[in-house]
Amino acid sequence: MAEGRDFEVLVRTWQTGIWRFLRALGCASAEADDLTQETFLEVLRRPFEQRSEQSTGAYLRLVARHQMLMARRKQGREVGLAEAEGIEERWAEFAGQDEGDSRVEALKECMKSLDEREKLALEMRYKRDSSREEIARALSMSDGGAKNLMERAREKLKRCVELRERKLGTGNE
Amino acid sequence: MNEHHEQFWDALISEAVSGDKPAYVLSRIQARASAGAAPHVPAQAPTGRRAPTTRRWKVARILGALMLSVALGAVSAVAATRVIDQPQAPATTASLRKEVDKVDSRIALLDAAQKGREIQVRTLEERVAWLQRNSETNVEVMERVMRERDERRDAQHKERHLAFIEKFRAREREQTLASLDKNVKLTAEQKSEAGKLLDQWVGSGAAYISGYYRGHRRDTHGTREKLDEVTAQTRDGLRALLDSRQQLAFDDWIARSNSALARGSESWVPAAVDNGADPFADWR
Repeated sequence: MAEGRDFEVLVRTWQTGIWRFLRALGCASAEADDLTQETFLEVLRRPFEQRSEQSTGAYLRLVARHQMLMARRKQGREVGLAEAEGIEERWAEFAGQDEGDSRVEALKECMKSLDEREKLALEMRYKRDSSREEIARALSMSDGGAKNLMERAREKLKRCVELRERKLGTGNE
Repeated sequence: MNEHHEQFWDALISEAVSGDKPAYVLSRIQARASAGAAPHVPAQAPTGRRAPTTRRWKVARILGALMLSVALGAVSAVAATRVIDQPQAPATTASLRKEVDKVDSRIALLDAAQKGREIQVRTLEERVAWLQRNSETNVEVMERVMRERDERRDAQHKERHLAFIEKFRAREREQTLASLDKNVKLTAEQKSEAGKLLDQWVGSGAAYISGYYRGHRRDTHGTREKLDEVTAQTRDGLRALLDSRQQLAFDDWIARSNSALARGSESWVPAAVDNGADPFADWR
């Protein structure tokens, strides 16, 4: 397989899911881009038989994780979650059939329910990569206060997403 | 429960908040595949940063050029210098870009701090409003507590007064009848009639006191008048039972007596209720 049109479809279908999986293993956005590319190149070099969506996803995640392990070891960096046994299955169970798409969309909606301070803290943390000290300074609070604020905001978001999933009956867990 | 959920949630929240998306890799994969053993084309990060593999390739080229320059000696050193100089232009650009990034980051932090201060002012304003609302509530609570205390005290007063009246009506009937008999010398028939009149008297008096507590507006003056009236009627009724000789003795007894029948409404009020907080004070 993995020739021409089939390969294009494979990349378009699984690219976001694999990238998101690599992010979940601890890769930064750019690193996840690199490793996604390496994953599909590996598939192009060593074609495999696509039996079902489930088995294709499992195989691609396995290759991606392997790519991450190799890259991290070569760079002498910590491998993080990539070394955890059965991590692909755990991610698949968590992300569900749409590879986490609905959860990300729900999170974007749920962000609207946070108050201004919580939004600002999360944006500084995830958008600007600010340190906790910087966030605490910007919000005129202690480090511990900033930590608690972000933990509370994360919990709120999780509860909001889970509530939406229960209402729609689309829970992944 | 999945033991890695926290990390998974963190990754999804990071994606949702940062708005990061995967780069479009298909054309690059195809380019690399068709180039065969062509050098690795790193994926370009959405922010425009160079991927780590680009930097590694640049470092390798610089090191290669240095080694070559040593091997070729002084003549080839000029050429080697050119090779070394080549990456310096992008290095300068990179350092400038780093400076710009730093300035951007500082501006972003100042923006965030400004926003933080605005939020803080708003929070303080909300707190002041809350405190104002809360102080009003405290006044209301104080009023309610005082009202409840007054109601409690009033109920206790009523209970004690009615208990006093119960004792009073039994005692006063017997004492008055005994004193009357002793001073006026009643016949058996007169004694029986006098007993009935005295029963009516203490019965009516107790009913007026109970009625006073049941009323929405407590009429102290009206109750006192009724008590005085029923006392006077009882005195007249008793006097009417007697012959003329007994009536003289009765008048003399009433003039000297300290009994409730002689004193009227004042006797119906307990001597001291609730440590002097007696609503019947004006009766005296």
